[in-house]
Amino acid sequence: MEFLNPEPPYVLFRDRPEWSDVTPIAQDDGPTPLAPILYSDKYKDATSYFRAIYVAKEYSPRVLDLTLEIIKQNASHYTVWQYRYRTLLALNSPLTQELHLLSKLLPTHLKSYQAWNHRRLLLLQLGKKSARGELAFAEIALAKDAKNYHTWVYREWLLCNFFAPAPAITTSPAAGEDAEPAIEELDEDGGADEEVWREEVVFTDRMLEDDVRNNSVWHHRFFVLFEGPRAKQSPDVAESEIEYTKHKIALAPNNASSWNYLRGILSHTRTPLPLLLPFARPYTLPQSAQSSLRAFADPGELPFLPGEKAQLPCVAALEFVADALAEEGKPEAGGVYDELVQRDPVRKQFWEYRKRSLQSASAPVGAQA
Amino acid sequence: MDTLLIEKHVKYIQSLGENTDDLMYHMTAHLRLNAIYWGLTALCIMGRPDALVKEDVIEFVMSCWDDDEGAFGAHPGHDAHILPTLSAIQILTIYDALDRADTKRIVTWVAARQNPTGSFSGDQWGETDTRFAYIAVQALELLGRLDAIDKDKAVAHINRCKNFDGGFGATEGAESHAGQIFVCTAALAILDRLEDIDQPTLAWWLAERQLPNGGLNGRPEKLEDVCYSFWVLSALSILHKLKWIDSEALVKFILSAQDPDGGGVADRPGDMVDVFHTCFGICGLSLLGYPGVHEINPIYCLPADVTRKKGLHMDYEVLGKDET
Repeated sequence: MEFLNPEPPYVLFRDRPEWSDVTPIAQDDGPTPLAPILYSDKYKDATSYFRAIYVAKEYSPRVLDLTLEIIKQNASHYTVWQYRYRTLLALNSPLTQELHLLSKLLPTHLKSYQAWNHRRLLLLQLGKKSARGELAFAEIALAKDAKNYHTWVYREWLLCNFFAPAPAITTSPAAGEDAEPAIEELDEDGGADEEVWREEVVFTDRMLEDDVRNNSVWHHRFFVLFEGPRAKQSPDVAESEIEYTKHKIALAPNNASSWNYLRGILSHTRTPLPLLLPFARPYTLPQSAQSSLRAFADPGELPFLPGEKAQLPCVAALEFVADALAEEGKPEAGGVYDELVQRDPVRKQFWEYRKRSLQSASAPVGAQA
Repeated sequence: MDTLLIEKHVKYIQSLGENTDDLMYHMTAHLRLNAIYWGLTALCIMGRPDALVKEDVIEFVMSCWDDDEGAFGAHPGHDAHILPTLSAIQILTIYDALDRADTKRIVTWVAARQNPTGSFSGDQWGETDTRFAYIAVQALELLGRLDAIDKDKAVAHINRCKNFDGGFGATEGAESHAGQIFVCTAALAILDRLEDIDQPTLAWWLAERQLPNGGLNGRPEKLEDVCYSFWVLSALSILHKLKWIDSEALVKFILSAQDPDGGGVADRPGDMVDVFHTCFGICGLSLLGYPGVHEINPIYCLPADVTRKKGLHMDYEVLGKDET
C-alpha cells in the first residue's frame, strides 16, 4: 500500500537538471542493449554518472546525492563508498549528520563490510566523544541480527580503540616506536572507561537472557572478562563466571557455546577439568535417573542439575566427563568415548581417535594421531 | 542427486558472463574478478580449464588494472583493492601469464598495505582483517616476494587474533569463524609457522562444526552452509585431520545443494546457486577425494598441479590419497 507511505517519484540522473552538464560514461564491458527492467535502468543511470564524476575528480554536494543513491541500491560498491568519504572530507561536511544518515541505512545493510568501514572512518574523525553512543547503536543493530559478525567486530573495535588503557591491545609488543599513532589521548579518564567495560558485562547478560545459545555473546563475554585490555586476572572473576556458566548450562544443556565457555575459563586459569566432574556427571545420565538425583541433592546444588525437559544424556557433558577422566589418566574414559560414538555418530572417527590416544600414555587432547 | 553434475556446472559457469544486461551482473561488479577466479578454479578442478577463453579472461583481468595505484580493481574503473588483486594474480598464475602484469608495482602496493602493528588493510582506506593478511601473504608468495613484508610482525598479528577456543577471528578480540580460521591457518602454513597454532584445540573446534545432516557450519549454533565445506575442510586438511569429518555425509550434503537443471551449487539445498558456493562446494569434494575431480591445494585454493609446478607448499591431506 504505497499510498500510505508517499515518496516522491524517482527521477533518473539523466533527467535531473542539476546534472545536465555531465556526460554519463557507460560501463565499458560490451554493447548494452535496452535495459529490460526499470530498476536495472535506475542503477545503470546512476553508475554512469558516477563514472563521469569519478573521471573528472569532482567533489561537490551533488556527488553526495549521487553516491547515496548508488549505495542505497548496492551497498557493496566499495569504490562509491570511498569516493563518498573523500567527498565528505573535501567539503568539510558535518560528519555527525553523515553518522545519523548511516544509522538509518545500516540496519538494512548489516552484512556490508563497506558500510561498517565507512562508520569506522567517521568515528576516527569524530573521536571518543561519539564512541559511547556507538555502543548503543551497535546494540540496536544486534537487536536486528544478534549474531552479525560485522556488528560484533565493530563493537570490539570501539572498546579497544576508545576505552582501552593507553597502550591499546592493537599495539604489538615488538612494535615499539613505530606503533600506530594514538587517535587521541585515550586514558584521560580511566575510571569512566572502566565503567564502560563493566557495563559491557551487563550487556552480555541481557543478550544471553534473549538467547543463551548465541556464541557471539559468549565469545564477547570471554573477551571482556579474560582477554581484553581491561581484563582482571583475578580468581574471583573466574570463580563467579564458572557459577554463572553452570546456571546457563542448566537452562539449556545441549548448548556448545556455554560448554566451550566453561572449558575456556578452565584452560585460561589452568584449572583441572576434573574439578567440575560433580557438576557435569548428572548431564551424562538419562532423564529417568534425574528424579532420584534431585531427591538426594544438597539444596545448594539443585539449581545446577538438569531440568525436567532437558534432552539427556547430553553429548557436550559426555565429552567433558570423558576428557576430565582422560586428564586424570582414568581408563573409564574409554567407555565414555564409546558412548559418544553411539550418541554422536557423525564424529565417530574423532571419538575413536580420542579413545586410541588414551592408550598412548596421557596424551593431551588431539595429540598427533 | 548422487553424482557431481560436471557438465551442468561447466555450462553454468560459462553462462555467467553472457548476460551483461542482467541486473545481477551490475550489482556484483565489485566481485567480478573474484567471480572469474572462483569460476576458473572450479573449472580446473572439474578438469575443464579450457571452458573459458584464456585470452579473453586475461584481457579482462588486465582491463581491471588501476594504473594510478598499481594494483587491480574488481572491475574496470573500480579502485584498487587487495581482494581483486589476489584474484588477478591467481588467474594469471593458473594461466602461467604473470609476465603480463607489472608485478614489481603490485609487490610494492601489497607490501604497503601492511600496518605498523603487522596487520593488513584491504586498500588505502584502512579496514583491517585477517583475510587481508592471508591475501597479502599468498599474493607475495605467488610473486616470489614474501621478503617484501615483515613476516614476524604478520605472524604476531595473526597470533593476537587467536581465541580461547583455538580458532581465529577477523580482528583482535573478534569471535572465531571458520572462514577466518581458514585464512589464518593457510597464512601460517605459507609463512612456515604452523607450530604457532594450538592444533589439538583448533582441530577439535573444526570437527565440532559438522551437523547431523552432514553439512558444516562456520560458528557454534549456526546453520550449515556449503562454503564451510571448503573453509573447515581446508584448515583440517592443512592440520592433517580430515578424517575427523564424516565425509560420506558431507559429500551427500554438498551434492544435494546442486541445481540439477541450471547447474551450479547453492549455500544449502533449495537455495539459489552462485559461483562462490559452486567453487567452494567442488573444492570441498576434491579434498574429500571425490572420484573424477582434480586435486585442489587448500593452502592457496589453487589447482594442485599449478602449485606443484611453481614449487609452492604442498603439505596437506586429501582423503583417499597417501593412505597409510
